[in-house]
Amino acid sequence: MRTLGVGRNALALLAFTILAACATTEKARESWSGATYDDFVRAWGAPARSGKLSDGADVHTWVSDAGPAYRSQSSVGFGIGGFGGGRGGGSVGVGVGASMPIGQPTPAPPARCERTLTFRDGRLVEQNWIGPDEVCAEFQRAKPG
Amino acid sequence: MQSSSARSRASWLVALAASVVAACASTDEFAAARESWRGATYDQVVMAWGTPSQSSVDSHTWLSDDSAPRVQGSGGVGGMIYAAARCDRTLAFRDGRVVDERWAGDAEYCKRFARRK
Repeated sequence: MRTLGVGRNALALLAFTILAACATTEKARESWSGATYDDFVRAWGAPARSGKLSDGADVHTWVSDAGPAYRSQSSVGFGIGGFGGGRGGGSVGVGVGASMPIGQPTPAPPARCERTLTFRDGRLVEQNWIGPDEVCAEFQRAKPG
Repeated sequence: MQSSSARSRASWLVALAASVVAACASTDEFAAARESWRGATYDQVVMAWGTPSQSSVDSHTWLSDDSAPRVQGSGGVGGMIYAAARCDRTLAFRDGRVVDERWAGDAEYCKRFARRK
């Protein structure tokens, strides 16, 4: 049935969107696996807070704010189309579409990503990232070259 | 036949019930996030949140702020707004482990600080 097909597509799209959103911070975290403290300082600068655990491991926290961004609003589309077919003939379709945004783009607020990392002998052993995916994902390790 | 005022009243009741359920779910998740740290060591908390903002003999406080999404609206018209959010977490330790926790701030934002499994 057509309605079921549309529902299935919508569900697939929703699942894909959720998976894509979940993957971003995780991907950024994983990109730093095996990195040293110096690698982080080169990429993000000096940490905002630093401390030591009872076993001598070093814990550093980097806090970053993403500036306000502008997101485009939803849009409305118009389309005209036609098809026809006579007796014994095939059908021919023609379509024209146009869309326009509604209102002004909405400002997204600044958001924060906090990364607390634990190092032993200068190497990363534990990571904890707190913040929205769209902000934290920006802190993925840059590929060399 | 159902009158339009009866239908309107029914929609309001459904909206009210949905708000209550959502509020309860949020409160439950906030309590779960807060209690997830019970029994953790100081080192485990520092590994997750970094060094505390304030410390006393047997308790430490972590202060965090950001903006958090809030749903606003009524009567079927609404939207998402972002507001400044704060979450202050004070954990009391005995024998090196969390025995009491006092969290204050935006419930939606505080949920980010739940202990990860």
